[in-house]
Amino acid sequence: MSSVNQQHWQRLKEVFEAALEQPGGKRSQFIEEVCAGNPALRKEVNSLLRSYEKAGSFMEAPAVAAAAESLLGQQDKLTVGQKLKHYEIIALIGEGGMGEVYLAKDTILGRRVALKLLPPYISNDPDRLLRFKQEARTASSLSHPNVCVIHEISESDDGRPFIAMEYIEGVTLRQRMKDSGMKLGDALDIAVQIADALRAAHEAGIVHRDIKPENVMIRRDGYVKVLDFGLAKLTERRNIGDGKTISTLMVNSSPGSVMGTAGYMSPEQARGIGVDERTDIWSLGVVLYEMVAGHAPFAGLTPTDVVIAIVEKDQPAIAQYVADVPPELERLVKKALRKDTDERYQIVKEMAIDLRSLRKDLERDSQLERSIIPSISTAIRGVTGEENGKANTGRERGIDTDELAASRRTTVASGFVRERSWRGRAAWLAVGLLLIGVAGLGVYTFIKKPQVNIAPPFQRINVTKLTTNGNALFASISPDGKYVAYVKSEGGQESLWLRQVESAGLLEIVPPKEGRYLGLTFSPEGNFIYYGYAATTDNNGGDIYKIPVLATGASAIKVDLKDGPPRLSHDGKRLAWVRHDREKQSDMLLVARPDASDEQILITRKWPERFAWDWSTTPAWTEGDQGLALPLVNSDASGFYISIYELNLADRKERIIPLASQRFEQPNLISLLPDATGVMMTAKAQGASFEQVWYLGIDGSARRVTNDLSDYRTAILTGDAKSFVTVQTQTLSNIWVAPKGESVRAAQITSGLGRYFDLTWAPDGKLIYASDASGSADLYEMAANGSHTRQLTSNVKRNYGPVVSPDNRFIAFHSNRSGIFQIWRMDRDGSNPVQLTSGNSESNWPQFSSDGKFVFYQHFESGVSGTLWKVPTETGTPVKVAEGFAVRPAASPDGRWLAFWLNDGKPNSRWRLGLMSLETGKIETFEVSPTVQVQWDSHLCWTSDSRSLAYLDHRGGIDNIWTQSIEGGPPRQLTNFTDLNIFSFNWSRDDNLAASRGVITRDVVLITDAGR
Amino acid sequence: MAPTPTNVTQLLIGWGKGDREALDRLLPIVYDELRRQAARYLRRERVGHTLQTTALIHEAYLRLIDQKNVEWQNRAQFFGIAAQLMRRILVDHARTKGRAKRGGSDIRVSLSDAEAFVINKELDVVALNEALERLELIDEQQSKIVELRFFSGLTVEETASVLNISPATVKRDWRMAKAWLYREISGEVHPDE
Repeated sequence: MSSVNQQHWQRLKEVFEAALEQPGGKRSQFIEEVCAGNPALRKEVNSLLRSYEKAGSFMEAPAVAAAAESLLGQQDKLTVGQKLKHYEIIALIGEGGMGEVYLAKDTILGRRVALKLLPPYISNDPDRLLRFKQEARTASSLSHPNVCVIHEISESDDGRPFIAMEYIEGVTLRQRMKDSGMKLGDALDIAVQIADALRAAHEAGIVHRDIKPENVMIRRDGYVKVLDFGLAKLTERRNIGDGKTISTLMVNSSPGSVMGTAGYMSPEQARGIGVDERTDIWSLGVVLYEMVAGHAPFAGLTPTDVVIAIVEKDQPAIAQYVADVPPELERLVKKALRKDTDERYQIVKEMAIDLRSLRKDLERDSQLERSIIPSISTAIRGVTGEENGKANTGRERGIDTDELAASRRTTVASGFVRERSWRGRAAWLAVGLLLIGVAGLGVYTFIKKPQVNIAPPFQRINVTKLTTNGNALFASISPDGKYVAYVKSEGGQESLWLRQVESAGLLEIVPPKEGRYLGLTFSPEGNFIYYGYAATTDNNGGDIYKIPVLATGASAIKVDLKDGPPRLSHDGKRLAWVRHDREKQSDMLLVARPDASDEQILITRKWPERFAWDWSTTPAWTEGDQGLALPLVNSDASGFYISIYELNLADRKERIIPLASQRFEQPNLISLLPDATGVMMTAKAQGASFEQVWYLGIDGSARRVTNDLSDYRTAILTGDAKSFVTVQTQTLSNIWVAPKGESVRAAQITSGLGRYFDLTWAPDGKLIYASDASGSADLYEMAANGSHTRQLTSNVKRNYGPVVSPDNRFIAFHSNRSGIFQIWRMDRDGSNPVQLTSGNSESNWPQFSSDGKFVFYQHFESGVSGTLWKVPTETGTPVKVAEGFAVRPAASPDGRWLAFWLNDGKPNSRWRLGLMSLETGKIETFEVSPTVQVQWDSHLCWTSDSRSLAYLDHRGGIDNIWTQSIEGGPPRQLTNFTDLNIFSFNWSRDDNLAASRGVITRDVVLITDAGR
Repeated sequence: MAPTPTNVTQLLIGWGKGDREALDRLLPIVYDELRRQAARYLRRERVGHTLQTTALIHEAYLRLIDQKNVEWQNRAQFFGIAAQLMRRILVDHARTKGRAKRGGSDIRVSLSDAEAFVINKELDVVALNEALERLELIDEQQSKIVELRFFSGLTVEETASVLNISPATVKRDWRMAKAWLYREISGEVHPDE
């Protein structure tokens, strides 16, 4: 579209949208005004509006059901007995992404044929179809006993192209390799016939491009037939520039063998440069190698690995896998597998000659009967489950020499039948691997490479909701997976419950009481629950208690330990746990006797490096109790990252294994997999709005286990790591506005269930807020009646805490768009964002000074202590305004005060309301009720007269707004809501109160690994 | 090698990095999986358990893609591919059937309230597709939104997430695309552009 038209379209869009926003009566007048002097635009807008009104439910019902029918439509059509031109369908013999293959009867000639029908996405692409037809025609001209004959390329009556080809009764070479032992003579026979087929094709100017065991059929009489000449081009994309084609991997049509080609691709195919006959020579070399060695020459866990191996690595000698390989065969294969096409066999005829002469030589030496399968790889597979290319190769090499020599000796004596000796070798290997394992443990290795035979944990999951009341706070599961303990919050009181997972039986362990649980964990044997509990709701302190799991009426025993819950060693003789020492700004790993005596500090790590991120992270004992392992959290400017820390108790040697380099926000509970092959944690990915369950493996992998619009807190694994429990939190809210602060007259202005946070009134009477309902936290504005929603930020990570400058020019907010959360400002309409703060730690919760010249904000130093700062609105150097543990500043409308939450930073100290005079700098404080539950982001707000501070009190389990007069006196309850939570509230200048209220449901869910 | 999540994911990532041929390899696999899911979908549909319309694609995504290395962009790409495929499949099928019957396309998507569509109570998919091709030339984003919303049944929020735009934008563009497409295929007179 020309730029003129582009402009026209943009204008049309704007006017159309704006017109739709107009009330019906005013619409035409609006259009007249806006389109004055542009009749074409007016006409177009009116026409679109008419269509819009008529369109009604047009396209509103998705076409998925119809598409599903269509997807299956073609398959449904071809049933047994059905006719496709003069072919009568007998059976479906293969299907996949490349179409279906049917066995059919040619009713004219009375012979059986194979019909290959292309899937519509190819057959309806005229360009591809044309190329395909050309290739298939050329291929059909080939007449050679080793080439599968193409009888006809045609179209069904309804226009679906198909190929009728020779029906071959037999098995694919892939199947043949799997089914029975392949003798050296068989392998050479097959290779010779493939070479012959290729020779005929090459002479006719056809390159196969996709030689692989799936494309080679072995007839019952031993005849080899090569399939699909020319079809490889079907999936190729033409590079128009030089007329060459960039090769691709042929995707085989039979299920289970898709993408089999990666390993057979030539280096030139892998690199996407032009291919010729020599590509087929390479692929034949690979096939031959595999037939003899029982192992692909280029292997890897992913196609990328395979491709890298093809381009860069030399294949291992076949002798690595099979003893007594004729040197001539090694040489021949090497020559076919030269990376440089010029060093390879130049024509397939040469290779065929060498293959034949080798066959003759071996025949003379009567070596052809040698059995070469099962190969070592098959045998190992039986032992370790599946092959792990790299690891196994290393180990095989490690114990190769003697064993190989031994097998050579037997070979000579036993006359080439290898089968027994291979088995023997496999057994040796198994013993060897075991020995390595045992020796390793003896020496102390804790962290093992994850076994490749096991699917990565929690790749596919089953989710079971264990509670439905929506009031669970924490949960933990016993190591045997039989019990789930959880903390329930009801009416402002918290209680501890135990649920039997299978029978759903429920037991109250600790009755409801005031105070706050901090976390819980089962003892390794599952007979005790340790939990952290603070009788008051202050700070992070509290004590640890233990209580027997199934002894009813037992009372909790206070365990004299500070901080993290301890983990008992396997022998039951020691406890290990983590202590966070706020004064020394460090985390310590400690051990003690089970009665907590003889405490010993093993290691101290200075913050910001942290041993654990949550109260209930516990160290894990190695088998044999020689060592301890636990997650280690670090952070840099781009977020948090996790490692596994391990300590050998004998020599105090430390080892740090870095996990995924991916950065996270707010990692929550991090629990070590029982075998220390990774961690499970709940965390937000950078830019994500929701805290999800993540798995990080020591192989560097990072995978999100859950994927939805809820938050998850804590993921605690069973001993076998097959399940974990977590608490799923869902937040939904609506906005209410009460005129002049009369909460009884509060009216709901939004409908449905959204997520509205950080409400603030703009001086122009609009409401600004943050919402992450769409999956990314952005800032929005809406009119005071809930209409005219407009998005102010988008595609810039997470944005929260908007405040509007008194002159209505700017919005200040905090955003992590540049890495970690910093203070930003933008114009009132969302344009011109400017970053006001920077550095390696977070800054949040901006507040404009009453003259609009400064922005106050909270800044976290070393991720711990909050201090208050201010920065000029027009940008400049930040200045500290208050020391200590002060968070969530609130500037009074009259410009005289800065209020905040204040804590002296010591364990068990209470949060108080801090009030600083901006004139004198003097700070006074006010006590608040323990039910206020202050956290680092607890909302604090001035009433419009600047005389009182308002905050939320969670008394009775329901949020209500309370105020504290700055003249002193007791706090007063302002609102009288009887249900729901309040997420945010704010007063406008003219004293209207807006509040976002809603529910947070928290339920315990059990997630089991469905892939294991 | 079966199409394991790992190697399918590799293809997806490869394509995301600009490897065009990865897409060629990906298409048959996604197509295959969509078909499997379609069979399941229809089975359930028939026994009365109506699935969420997006379930088909989501299910295919979950089955095919290992989230180990997948970035947000890859997820978006996957939904993009699936939506394109769904569209092509539907249109191809409509065309094929139409050709067979010579009576025009009979794949029509029923409209829930008939009052609006005066010309035909059903939607002509082939005509819609052609109109959508024209829309693509004018406003690519709008055509993508239609593809995701209509052909794949994604919600406004999901569409927004896939295209990395705001739900508000999706809603706005959807409204306009709907009006524009309706006008195109209902054959109403429209001014020259």
